[in-house]
Amino acid sequence: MAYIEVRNVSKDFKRRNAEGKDSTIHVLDDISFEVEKGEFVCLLGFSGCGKSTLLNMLAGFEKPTKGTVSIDGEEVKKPSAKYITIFQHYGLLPWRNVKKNIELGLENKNISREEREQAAQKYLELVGLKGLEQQFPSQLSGGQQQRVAIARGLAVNPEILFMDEPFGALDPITRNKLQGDLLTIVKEQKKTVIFVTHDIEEAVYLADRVFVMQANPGKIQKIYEVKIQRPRDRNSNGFSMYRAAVYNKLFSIKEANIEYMI
Amino acid sequence: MKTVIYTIASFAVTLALWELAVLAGDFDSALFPAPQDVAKAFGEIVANGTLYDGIAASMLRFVIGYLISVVAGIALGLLIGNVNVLFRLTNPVVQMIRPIAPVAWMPFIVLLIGIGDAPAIVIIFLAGFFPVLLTTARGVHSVDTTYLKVASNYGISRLKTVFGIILPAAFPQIANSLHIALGSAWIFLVSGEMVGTQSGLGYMIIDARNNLRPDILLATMIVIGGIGFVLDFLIGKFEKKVLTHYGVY
Ligand SMILES: Nc1ncnc2c1ncn2[C@@H]1O[C@H](COP(=O)(O)OP(=O)(O)OP(=O)(O)O)[C@@H](O)[C@H]1O
Ligand SMILES: [Mg+2]
Repeated sequence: MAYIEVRNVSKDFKRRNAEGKDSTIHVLDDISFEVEKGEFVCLLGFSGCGKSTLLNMLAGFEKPTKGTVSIDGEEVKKPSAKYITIFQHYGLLPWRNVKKNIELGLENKNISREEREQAAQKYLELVGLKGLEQQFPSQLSGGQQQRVAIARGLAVNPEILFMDEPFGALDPITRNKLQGDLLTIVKEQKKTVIFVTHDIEEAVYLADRVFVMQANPGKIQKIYEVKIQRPRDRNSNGFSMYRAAVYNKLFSIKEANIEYMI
Repeated sequence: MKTVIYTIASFAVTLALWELAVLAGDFDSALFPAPQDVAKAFGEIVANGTLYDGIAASMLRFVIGYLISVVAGIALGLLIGNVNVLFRLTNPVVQMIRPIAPVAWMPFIVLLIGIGDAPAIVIIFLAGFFPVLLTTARGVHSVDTTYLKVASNYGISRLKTVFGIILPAAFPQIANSLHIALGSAWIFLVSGEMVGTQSGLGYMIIDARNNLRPDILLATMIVIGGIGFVLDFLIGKFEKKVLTHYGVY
Protein backbone atom coordinates (compact mmCIF):
# COMPACT_ATOMS: atom_id res chain seq x y z
CA MET A 1 0.00 0.00 0.00
CA ALA A 2 1.33 3.40 -0.97
CA TYR A 3 1.95 6.11 1.61
CA ILE A 4 -0.56 8.58 0.19
CA GLU A 5 -3.44 7.05 -1.73
CA VAL A 6 -5.98 9.09 -3.60
CA ARG A 7 -8.81 6.89 -4.89
CA ASN A 8 -11.40 8.13 -7.40
CA VAL A 9 -11.69 11.53 -5.77
CA SER A 10 -14.24 13.98 -7.15
CA LYS A 11 -15.22 17.32 -5.73
CA ASP A 12 -18.32 19.36 -6.44
CA PHE A 13 -19.03 22.83 -5.12
CA LYS A 14 -22.42 24.44 -4.84
CA ARG A 15 -22.41 27.88 -6.26
CA ARG A 16 -25.03 30.56 -6.74
CA ASN A 17 -25.10 31.66 -10.35
CA ALA A 18 -25.92 35.15 -11.67
CA GLU A 19 -29.67 34.48 -11.62
CA GLY A 20 -29.48 33.52 -7.95
CA LYS A 21 -30.04 29.82 -8.55
CA ASP A 22 -27.84 27.23 -6.91
CA SER A 23 -25.81 25.20 -9.32
CA THR A 24 -23.19 22.54 -8.85
CA ILE A 25 -19.75 22.85 -10.32
CA HIS A 26 -17.67 19.80 -10.86
CA VAL A 27 -14.20 20.94 -9.85
CA LEU A 28 -12.27 17.68 -9.65
CA ASP A 29 -13.15 14.58 -11.62
CA ASP A 30 -12.25 11.05 -10.58
CA ILE A 31 -8.66 11.62 -9.56
CA SER A 32 -6.48 8.73 -8.45
CA PHE A 33 -2.78 8.64 -7.69
CA GLU A 34 -0.27 7.41 -5.18
CA VAL A 35 2.70 9.07 -3.55
CA GLU A 36 5.54 7.26 -1.82
CA LYS A 37 7.07 8.32 1.46
CA GLY A 38 9.83 10.87 0.97
CA GLU A 39 8.68 11.89 -2.50
CA PHE A 40 8.49 15.48 -3.67
CA VAL A 41 5.46 15.92 -5.90
CA CYS A 42 4.45 19.12 -7.68
CA LEU A 43 0.88 19.76 -8.73
CA LEU A 44 1.09 22.03 -11.74
CA GLY A 45 -1.81 23.64 -13.56
CA PHE A 46 -3.52 26.83 -14.55
CA SER A 47 -5.43 28.97 -12.13
CA GLY A 48 -8.79 27.45 -11.29
CA CYS A 49 -7.95 23.86 -12.24
CA GLY A 50 -8.48 22.73 -8.66
CA LYS A 51 -4.95 22.46 -7.26
CA SER A 52 -5.82 24.11 -3.96
CA THR A 53 -9.03 22.11 -3.71
CA LEU A 54 -7.11 18.87 -4.15
CA LEU A 55 -4.48 19.95 -1.62
CA ASN A 56 -7.19 20.96 0.87
CA MET A 57 -8.68 17.48 0.66
CA LEU A 58 -5.30 15.82 1.13
CA ALA A 59 -4.73 18.01 4.19
CA GLY A 60 -8.19 17.26 5.62
CA PHE A 61 -9.57 20.80 5.35
CA GLU A 62 -12.24 19.63 2.89
CA LYS A 63 -13.98 16.34 2.21
CA PRO A 64 -14.14 14.75 -1.22
CA THR A 65 -17.62 14.53 -2.72
CA LYS A 66 -16.69 11.07 -3.92
CA GLY A 67 -13.71 8.82 -3.33
CA THR A 68 -11.19 8.64 -0.51
CA VAL A 69 -7.85 10.03 0.52
CA SER A 70 -5.75 7.98 2.85
CA ILE A 71 -2.36 8.58 4.34
CA ASP A 72 -0.30 5.83 5.90
CA GLY A 73 -3.26 3.47 5.65
CA GLU A 74 -5.71 5.75 7.41
CA GLU A 75 -8.49 7.69 5.75
CA VAL A 76 -8.02 11.46 6.07
CA LYS A 77 -11.04 12.98 7.78
CA LYS A 78 -9.69 16.06 9.47
CA PRO A 79 -6.47 18.07 9.65
CA SER A 80 -3.64 16.72 11.72
CA ALA A 81 -0.31 18.09 12.86
CA LYS A 82 1.30 15.11 11.10
CA TYR A 83 0.62 16.91 7.84
CA ILE A 84 1.35 20.60 7.89
CA THR A 85 0.11 23.02 5.25
CA ILE A 86 2.18 26.02 4.21
CA PHE A 87 0.08 28.78 2.65
CA GLN A 88 0.90 31.28 -0.07
CA HIS A 89 0.25 34.18 2.31
CA TYR A 90 2.17 32.49 5.12
CA GLY A 91 -0.63 32.45 7.71
CA LEU A 92 1.64 33.89 10.38
CA LEU A 93 -0.05 35.43 13.40
CA PRO A 94 0.80 39.14 13.22
CA TRP A 95 0.47 39.66 16.98
CA ARG A 96 3.17 37.11 17.75
CA ASN A 97 6.86 37.62 17.16
CA VAL A 98 8.87 35.19 15.08
CA LYS A 99 9.82 33.00 18.00
CA LYS A 100 6.26 32.82 19.30
CA ASN A 101 4.96 32.04 15.84
CA ILE A 102 7.33 29.12 15.53
CA GLU A 103 6.31 27.89 18.97
CA LEU A 104 2.60 27.90 18.07
CA GLY A 105 2.28 24.22 17.25
CA LEU A 106 4.42 23.19 20.23
CA GLU A 107 2.29 24.91 22.84
CA ASN A 108 -0.29 22.17 23.15
CA LYS A 109 2.31 19.44 23.30
CA ASN A 110 3.34 18.11 26.63
CA ILE A 111 6.81 19.59 26.66
CA SER A 112 8.53 22.03 28.96
CA ARG A 113 8.96 25.65 28.04
CA GLU A 114 12.68 25.14 27.74
CA GLU A 115 12.31 22.30 25.25
CA ARG A 116 9.85 24.38 23.30
CA GLU A 117 12.20 27.32 23.08
CA GLN A 118 15.08 25.07 22.09
CA ALA A 119 13.02 23.51 19.32
CA ALA A 120 11.93 26.93 18.05
CA GLN A 121 15.52 28.11 18.05
CA LYS A 122 16.70 25.04 16.19
CA TYR A 123 14.21 25.47 13.34
CA LEU A 124 14.71 29.21 13.26
CA GLU A 125 18.38 28.58 12.60
CA LEU A 126 17.61 25.82 10.13
CA VAL A 127 15.66 28.22 7.92
CA GLY A 128 18.36 30.86 8.29
CA LEU A 129 16.59 33.42 10.44
CA LYS A 130 18.90 33.51 13.44
CA GLY A 131 18.75 36.92 15.12
CA LEU A 132 15.21 37.70 13.99
CA GLU A 133 13.40 35.91 16.82
CA GLN A 134 12.01 39.10 18.36
CA GLN A 135 10.74 40.60 15.08
CA PHE A 136 7.06 40.71 14.20
CA PRO A 137 5.82 39.38 10.85
CA SER A 138 5.08 42.90 9.60
CA GLN A 139 8.77 43.71 10.03
CA LEU A 140 9.90 40.89 7.75
CA SER A 141 10.13 40.51 3.98
CA GLY A 142 7.83 38.05 2.24
CA GLY A 143 10.67 35.55 1.89
CA GLN A 144 11.53 35.79 5.56
CA GLN A 145 7.88 35.39 6.51
CA GLN A 146 7.61 32.22 4.47
CA ARG A 147 10.79 30.94 6.16
CA VAL A 148 9.08 31.50 9.52
CA ALA A 149 6.02 29.59 8.31
CA ILE A 150 8.24 26.72 7.19
CA ALA A 151 10.08 26.70 10.51
CA ARG A 152 6.75 26.70 12.36
CA GLY A 153 5.66 23.71 10.30
CA LEU A 154 8.90 21.77 10.71
CA ALA A 155 8.93 22.41 14.45
CA VAL A 156 6.05 19.98 15.02
CA ASN A 157 7.99 17.38 13.08
CA PRO A 158 5.34 16.54 10.48
CA GLU A 159 5.66 13.66 8.04
CA ILE A 160 4.24 15.62 5.14
CA LEU A 161 4.35 19.23 4.02
CA PHE A 162 1.48 20.42 1.87
CA MET A 163 2.52 23.65 0.21
CA ASP A 164 0.12 25.85 -1.75
CA GLU A 165 2.06 28.20 -4.00
CA PRO A 166 4.31 29.04 -1.07
CA PHE A 167 6.73 31.09 -3.14
CA GLY A 168 4.10 32.59 -5.45
CA ALA A 169 4.36 36.08 -4.00
CA LEU A 170 8.15 36.28 -3.97
CA ASP A 171 10.58 37.83 -6.43
CA PRO A 172 12.55 35.40 -8.64
CA ILE A 173 15.85 35.62 -6.76
CA THR A 174 14.28 35.09 -3.34
CA ARG A 175 12.17 32.31 -4.80
CA ASN A 176 15.18 30.45 -6.24
CA LYS A 177 17.01 30.73 -2.94
CA LEU A 178 14.02 29.41 -1.01
CA GLN A 179 13.52 26.55 -3.46
CA GLY A 180 17.11 25.44 -2.93
CA ASP A 181 16.90 25.76 0.85
CA LEU A 182 13.57 23.93 0.99
CA LEU A 183 14.94 21.02 -1.03
CA THR A 184 17.98 20.70 1.19
CA ILE A 185 15.84 20.65 4.33
CA VAL A 186 13.11 18.28 3.20
CA LYS A 187 15.48 15.81 1.60
CA GLU A 188 17.66 15.79 4.69
CA GLN A 189 14.66 15.37 7.01
CA LYS A 190 13.03 12.87 4.64
CA LYS A 191 9.74 14.74 4.44
CA THR A 192 7.12 13.96 1.87
CA VAL A 193 6.09 17.13 0.05
CA ILE A 194 3.07 17.92 -2.11
CA PHE A 195 3.75 21.30 -3.63
CA VAL A 196 1.23 23.32 -5.66
CA THR A 197 2.56 25.74 -8.22
CA HIS A 198 1.79 27.20 -11.61
CA ASP A 199 5.42 27.89 -12.33
CA ILE A 200 6.82 25.24 -14.70
CA GLU A 201 10.45 25.90 -13.85
CA GLU A 202 9.74 25.68 -10.16
CA ALA A 203 8.01 22.32 -10.64
CA VAL A 204 10.82 20.87 -12.74
CA TYR A 205 13.46 22.16 -10.34
CA LEU A 206 11.83 20.79 -7.20
CA ALA A 207 9.86 17.70 -8.03
CA ASP A 208 10.60 14.03 -8.20
CA ARG A 209 7.35 13.88 -10.13
CA VAL A 210 5.31 16.65 -11.74
CA PHE A 211 1.56 16.12 -12.00
CA VAL A 212 0.25 18.26 -14.82
CA MET A 213 -3.39 19.10 -14.23
CA GLN A 214 -6.07 20.20 -16.64
CA ALA A 215 -9.15 22.24 -15.83
CA ASN A 216 -12.92 21.94 -16.25
CA PRO A 217 -13.14 19.46 -14.75
CA GLY A 218 -9.83 19.14 -12.93
CA LYS A 219 -7.93 15.99 -13.77
CA ILE A 220 -4.35 14.85 -13.74
CA GLN A 221 -3.44 14.93 -17.37
CA LYS A 222 0.04 13.53 -17.21
CA ILE A 223 2.71 12.63 -14.69
CA TYR A 224 6.34 13.41 -15.46
CA GLU A 225 9.05 11.73 -13.52
CA VAL A 226 11.93 14.19 -13.44
CA LYS A 227 15.05 12.08 -13.72
CA ILE A 228 17.63 14.81 -13.27
CA GLN A 229 20.24 14.54 -10.54
CA ARG A 230 20.25 17.09 -7.77
CA PRO A 231 21.34 19.78 -7.38
CA ARG A 232 19.66 20.58 -10.65
CA ASP A 233 21.03 23.11 -13.07
CA ARG A 234 18.25 25.22 -14.51
CA ASN A 235 20.33 25.89 -17.61
CA SER A 236 21.19 22.30 -18.45
CA ASN A 237 19.84 20.58 -21.54
CA GLY A 238 17.96 17.98 -19.56
CA PHE A 239 16.25 20.68 -17.54
CA SER A 240 15.23 22.57 -20.69
CA MET A 241 13.83 19.44 -22.18
CA TYR A 242 11.62 18.72 -19.21
CA ARG A 243 10.59 22.32 -19.11
CA ALA A 244 9.65 22.24 -22.79
CA ALA A 245 7.78 18.95 -22.45
CA VAL A 246 5.76 20.19 -19.49
CA TYR A 247 5.14 23.50 -21.21
CA ASN A 248 3.86 21.79 -24.33
CA LYS A 249 1.65 19.50 -22.32
CA LEU A 250 0.28 22.36 -20.31
CA PHE A 251 -0.56 24.34 -23.41
CA SER A 252 -1.63 21.15 -25.19
CA ILE A 253 0.96 21.55 -27.91
CA LYS A 254 2.05 18.41 -29.75
CA GLU A 255 3.82 16.34 -27.19
CA ALA A 256 7.54 15.88 -27.44
CA ASN A 257 8.70 12.39 -26.72
CA ILE A 258 10.86 13.13 -23.79
CA GLU A 259 12.13 9.63 -23.11
CA TYR A 260 13.34 9.47 -26.67
CA MET A 261 15.06 12.85 -26.55
CA ILE A 262 17.01 12.33 -23.35
CA MET B 1 4.80 70.93 14.58
CA LYS B 2 2.39 72.38 12.02
CA THR B 3 -0.43 70.62 13.88
CA VAL B 4 0.46 72.50 17.06
CA ILE B 5 0.36 75.85 15.27
CA TYR B 6 -3.00 75.04 13.68
CA THR B 7 -4.38 73.90 17.01
CA ILE B 8 -3.36 77.14 18.71
CA ALA B 9 -4.74 79.17 15.81
CA SER B 10 -8.00 77.23 15.89
CA PHE B 11 -8.59 78.07 19.55
CA ALA B 12 -7.42 81.68 19.12
CA VAL B 13 -9.87 82.31 16.27
CA THR B 14 -12.72 80.72 18.21
CA LEU B 15 -11.98 82.86 21.28
CA ALA B 16 -11.79 86.01 19.13
CA LEU B 17 -15.14 85.24 17.47
CA TRP B 18 -16.68 84.56 20.85
CA GLU B 19 -15.35 87.82 22.27
CA LEU B 20 -16.62 89.61 19.16
CA ALA B 21 -20.08 88.09 19.51
CA VAL B 22 -20.24 89.23 23.14
CA LEU B 23 -19.15 92.79 22.21
CA ALA B 24 -21.26 93.12 19.09
CA GLY B 25 -24.31 91.21 20.28
CA ASP B 26 -26.80 92.91 22.51
CA PHE B 27 -27.01 90.17 25.10
CA ASP B 28 -27.30 90.51 28.85
CA SER B 29 -23.70 90.01 30.01
CA ALA B 30 -24.94 87.80 32.83
CA LEU B 31 -26.51 85.44 30.28
CA PHE B 32 -23.77 85.45 27.64
CA PRO B 33 -20.46 85.66 29.48
CA ALA B 34 -17.24 86.64 27.75
CA PRO B 35 -14.23 84.28 27.70
CA GLN B 36 -12.57 86.06 30.61
CA ASP B 37 -15.76 85.67 32.72
CA VAL B 38 -15.78 81.98 31.98
CA ALA B 39 -12.10 81.79 32.90
CA LYS B 40 -12.94 83.45 36.18
CA ALA B 41 -15.80 81.00 36.80
CA PHE B 42 -13.42 78.18 36.01
CA GLY B 43 -11.07 79.51 38.67
CA GLU B 44 -13.99 79.63 41.08
CA ILE B 45 -15.10 76.02 40.60
CA VAL B 46 -11.51 74.83 40.78
CA ALA B 47 -10.93 76.76 44.00
CA ASN B 48 -14.08 75.64 45.79
CA GLY B 49 -13.59 72.04 44.78
CA THR B 50 -16.86 71.53 42.92
CA LEU B 51 -15.08 70.84 39.64
CA TYR B 52 -12.84 68.24 41.22
CA ASP B 53 -15.81 66.53 42.87
CA GLY B 54 -17.77 66.64 39.64
CA ILE B 55 -14.96 65.16 37.57
CA ALA B 56 -14.30 62.48 40.18
CA ALA B 57 -17.97 61.46 40.29
CA SER B 58 -18.26 61.44 36.51
CA MET B 59 -15.03 59.56 35.92
CA LEU B 60 -15.97 56.85 38.39
CA ARG B 61 -19.30 56.23 36.63
CA PHE B 62 -17.63 56.48 33.28
CA VAL B 63 -14.91 53.96 34.07
CA ILE B 64 -17.38 51.49 35.56
CA GLY B 65 -19.94 51.81 32.75
CA TYR B 66 -17.38 51.76 29.98
CA LEU B 67 -15.47 48.79 31.38
CA ILE B 68 -18.64 46.77 31.81
CA SER B 69 -19.72 47.58 28.26
CA VAL B 70 -16.31 46.63 26.87
CA VAL B 71 -16.01 43.37 28.78
CA ALA B 72 -19.63 42.36 28.12
CA GLY B 73 -19.49 43.52 24.50
CA ILE B 74 -16.33 41.57 23.72
CA ALA B 75 -17.37 38.46 25.65
CA LEU B 76 -20.87 38.25 24.17
CA GLY B 77 -19.55 39.35 20.76
CA LEU B 78 -17.12 36.42 20.81
CA LEU B 79 -19.93 34.12 21.84
CA ILE B 80 -22.48 35.12 19.20
CA GLY B 81 -19.73 35.51 16.61
CA ASN B 82 -18.63 31.92 17.11
CA VAL B 83 -22.00 30.27 17.61
CA ASN B 84 -24.00 30.99 14.51
CA VAL B 85 -27.33 29.91 16.00
CA LEU B 86 -26.95 32.46 18.78
CA PHE B 87 -26.00 35.18 16.33
CA ARG B 88 -29.06 34.60 14.17
CA LEU B 89 -31.25 34.35 17.22
CA THR B 90 -30.08 37.59 18.84
CA ASN B 91 -29.28 39.76 15.86
CA PRO B 92 -32.84 40.87 14.97
CA VAL B 93 -33.58 42.04 18.49
CA VAL B 94 -30.18 43.68 18.87
CA GLN B 95 -30.72 45.55 15.62
CA MET B 96 -34.04 46.82 16.93
CA ILE B 97 -32.76 47.88 20.35
CA ARG B 98 -29.59 49.49 19.05
CA PRO B 99 -31.16 52.56 17.40
CA ILE B 100 -32.95 53.53 20.62
CA ALA B 101 -30.95 56.46 22.01
CA PRO B 102 -29.51 55.52 25.40
CA VAL B 103 -31.16 58.60 26.98
CA ALA B 104 -34.54 57.25 25.94
CA TRP B 105 -33.97 54.45 28.44
CA MET B 106 -33.49 56.98 31.19
CA PRO B 107 -37.05 57.48 32.47
CA PHE B 108 -37.61 53.76 32.42
CA ILE B 109 -34.42 53.08 34.35
CA VAL B 110 -35.07 55.85 36.87
CA LEU B 111 -38.55 54.49 37.52
CA LEU B 112 -37.13 51.02 37.84
CA ILE B 113 -34.08 51.60 40.05
CA GLY B 114 -34.36 55.23 41.14
CA ILE B 115 -31.83 58.04 40.78
CA GLY B 116 -28.20 57.81 41.78
CA ASP B 117 -25.11 56.33 40.17
CA ALA B 118 -26.85 53.39 38.57
CA PRO B 119 -28.88 55.12 35.82
CA ALA B 120 -25.87 57.05 34.54
CA ILE B 121 -23.78 53.87 34.53
CA VAL B 122 -26.52 52.00 32.69
CA ILE B 123 -26.62 54.73 30.03
CA ILE B 124 -22.87 54.64 29.53
CA PHE B 125 -23.08 50.90 29.32
CA LEU B 126 -25.84 51.04 26.69
CA ALA B 127 -23.89 53.60 24.67
CA GLY B 128 -20.73 51.50 24.63
CA PHE B 129 -22.13 47.98 24.59
CA PHE B 130 -23.77 47.73 21.17
CA PRO B 131 -20.92 49.03 19.03
CA VAL B 132 -18.47 46.73 20.83
CA LEU B 133 -20.82 43.72 20.66
CA LEU B 134 -21.59 44.04 16.97
CA THR B 135 -18.06 44.91 15.90
CA THR B 136 -16.66 41.98 17.85
CA ALA B 137 -19.18 39.58 16.29
CA ARG B 138 -18.46 40.98 12.83
CA GLY B 139 -14.72 40.83 13.52
CA VAL B 140 -15.05 37.15 14.41
CA HIS B 141 -16.91 36.50 11.17
CA SER B 142 -14.28 38.21 9.08
CA VAL B 143 -11.24 36.48 10.58
CA ASP B 144 -8.99 35.29 7.77
CA THR B 145 -9.84 31.62 7.17
CA THR B 146 -6.12 30.89 6.90
CA TYR B 147 -5.80 31.51 10.66
CA LEU B 148 -8.57 29.01 11.32
CA LYS B 149 -6.91 26.48 9.07
CA VAL B 150 -3.62 27.01 10.89
CA ALA B 151 -5.39 26.50 14.23
CA SER B 152 -7.00 23.24 13.17
CA ASN B 153 -3.84 22.07 11.43
CA TYR B 154 -1.81 22.41 14.64
CA GLY B 155 -4.56 20.79 16.68
CA ILE B 156 -5.30 23.88 18.77
CA SER B 157 -8.41 23.40 20.92
CA ARG B 158 -11.63 25.29 20.25
CA LEU B 159 -11.31 27.40 23.37
CA LYS B 160 -7.69 28.29 22.70
CA THR B 161 -8.59 29.11 19.12
CA VAL B 162 -11.25 31.56 20.28
CA PHE B 163 -9.03 33.39 22.76
CA GLY B 164 -5.61 32.81 21.23
CA ILE B 165 -6.37 33.19 17.52
CA ILE B 166 -9.81 34.65 16.81
CA LEU B 167 -9.80 37.35 19.48
CA PRO B 168 -6.37 38.72 18.61
CA ALA B 169 -7.09 38.41 14.89
CA ALA B 170 -10.25 40.48 15.30
CA PHE B 171 -8.61 42.87 17.72
CA PRO B 172 -7.81 45.72 15.28
CA GLN B 173 -11.52 45.97 14.50
CA ILE B 174 -12.43 45.62 18.16
CA ALA B 175 -9.97 48.39 19.04
CA ASN B 176 -11.73 50.64 16.56
CA SER B 177 -15.07 49.90 18.22
CA LEU B 178 -13.53 50.62 21.63
CA HIS B 179 -12.56 54.01 20.25
CA ILE B 180 -16.06 54.71 18.94
CA ALA B 181 -17.70 53.37 22.09
CA LEU B 182 -15.53 55.56 24.28
CA GLY B 183 -16.67 58.66 22.42
CA SER B 184 -20.36 57.89 22.61
CA ALA B 185 -20.12 56.70 26.21
CA TRP B 186 -18.59 60.04 27.20
CA ILE B 187 -21.28 61.94 25.32
CA PHE B 188 -24.07 59.99 26.97
CA LEU B 189 -22.50 60.18 30.41
CA VAL B 190 -23.34 63.87 30.52
CA SER B 191 -26.92 63.38 29.39
CA GLY B 192 -27.32 60.60 31.92
CA GLU B 193 -26.07 62.81 34.74
CA MET B 194 -28.33 65.65 33.70
CA VAL B 195 -31.37 63.54 34.45
CA GLY B 196 -30.71 60.99 37.08
CA THR B 197 -28.00 62.16 39.48
CA GLN B 198 -27.04 64.78 42.06
CA SER B 199 -23.33 64.89 41.18
CA GLY B 200 -20.97 64.83 38.25
CA LEU B 201 -20.32 67.11 35.30
CA GLY B 202 -23.79 66.66 33.81
CA TYR B 203 -25.35 67.58 37.13
CA MET B 204 -23.08 70.66 37.36
CA ILE B 205 -24.60 71.90 34.12
CA ILE B 206 -28.13 71.55 35.42
CA ASP B 207 -27.10 73.09 38.72
CA ALA B 208 -25.49 76.08 36.97
CA ARG B 209 -28.67 76.62 34.97
CA ASN B 210 -30.80 76.51 38.10
CA ASN B 211 -28.52 79.08 39.76
CA LEU B 212 -28.47 81.27 36.65
CA ARG B 213 -24.70 80.93 36.31
CA PRO B 214 -24.02 80.62 32.55
CA ASP B 215 -20.34 81.36 33.23
CA ILE B 216 -20.02 78.18 35.31
CA LEU B 217 -22.18 76.38 32.78
CA LEU B 218 -19.84 77.24 29.91
CA ALA B 219 -16.76 76.47 31.99
CA THR B 220 -18.17 73.03 32.74
CA MET B 221 -18.99 72.47 29.07
CA ILE B 222 -15.41 73.31 28.13
CA VAL B 223 -14.12 70.86 30.74
CA ILE B 224 -16.41 68.13 29.34
CA GLY B 225 -15.11 68.81 25.84
CA GLY B 226 -11.52 68.87 27.06
CA ILE B 227 -11.77 65.55 28.89
CA GLY B 228 -13.53 63.97 25.89
CA PHE B 229 -10.74 65.25 23.69
CA VAL B 230 -8.04 63.81 25.92
CA LEU B 231 -9.82 60.45 26.22
CA ASP B 232 -10.21 60.27 22.45
CA PHE B 233 -6.57 61.16 21.97
CA LEU B 234 -5.42 58.44 24.38
CA ILE B 235 -7.54 55.68 22.91
CA GLY B 236 -6.61 56.85 19.41
CA LYS B 237 -2.98 56.31 20.37
CA PHE B 238 -3.83 52.88 21.70
CA GLU B 239 -5.68 51.99 18.50
CA LYS B 240 -2.82 53.16 16.35
CA LYS B 241 -0.39 51.14 18.43
CA VAL B 242 -2.52 48.04 17.88
CA LEU B 243 -2.66 48.62 14.15
CA THR B 244 1.08 49.23 13.91
CA HIS B 245 1.70 46.08 15.85
CA TYR B 246 -0.46 44.17 13.38
CA GLY B 247 1.35 45.70 10.43
CA VAL B 248 -1.67 47.61 9.18
CA TYR B 249 0.41 50.79 8.97
N1 LIG C 1 -15.50 26.94 -1.47
C1 LIG C 1 -15.76 27.00 -2.79
N2 LIG C 1 -17.03 27.18 -3.23
C2 LIG C 1 -17.32 27.23 -4.53
N3 LIG C 1 -16.41 27.09 -5.51
C3 LIG C 1 -15.12 26.91 -5.16
C4 LIG C 1 -14.73 26.86 -3.78
N4 LIG C 1 -13.39 26.66 -3.72
C5 LIG C 1 -12.98 26.61 -5.01
N5 LIG C 1 -14.00 26.76 -5.87
C6 LIG C 1 -13.92 26.71 -7.33
O1 LIG C 1 -13.19 25.56 -7.68
C7 LIG C 1 -12.33 25.81 -8.76
C8 LIG C 1 -10.93 25.41 -8.39
O2 LIG C 1 -10.46 26.27 -7.36
P1 LIG C 1 -9.01 26.12 -6.74
O3 LIG C 1 -8.85 27.19 -5.73
O4 LIG C 1 -8.81 24.73 -6.30
O5 LIG C 1 -8.09 26.41 -7.99
P2 LIG C 1 -6.51 26.52 -8.09
O6 LIG C 1 -6.06 25.55 -9.10
O7 LIG C 1 -5.90 26.42 -6.74
O8 LIG C 1 -6.31 28.00 -8.65
P3 LIG C 1 -5.18 29.08 -8.29
O9 LIG C 1 -3.96 28.70 -9.04
O10 LIG C 1 -5.76 30.36 -8.82
O11 LIG C 1 -5.00 29.10 -6.82
C9 LIG C 1 -12.50 27.27 -9.11
O12 LIG C 1 -13.37 27.37 -10.22
C10 LIG C 1 -13.13 27.86 -7.90
O13 LIG C 1 -13.97 28.93 -8.25
MG1 LIG D 1 -4.96 27.78 -5.44
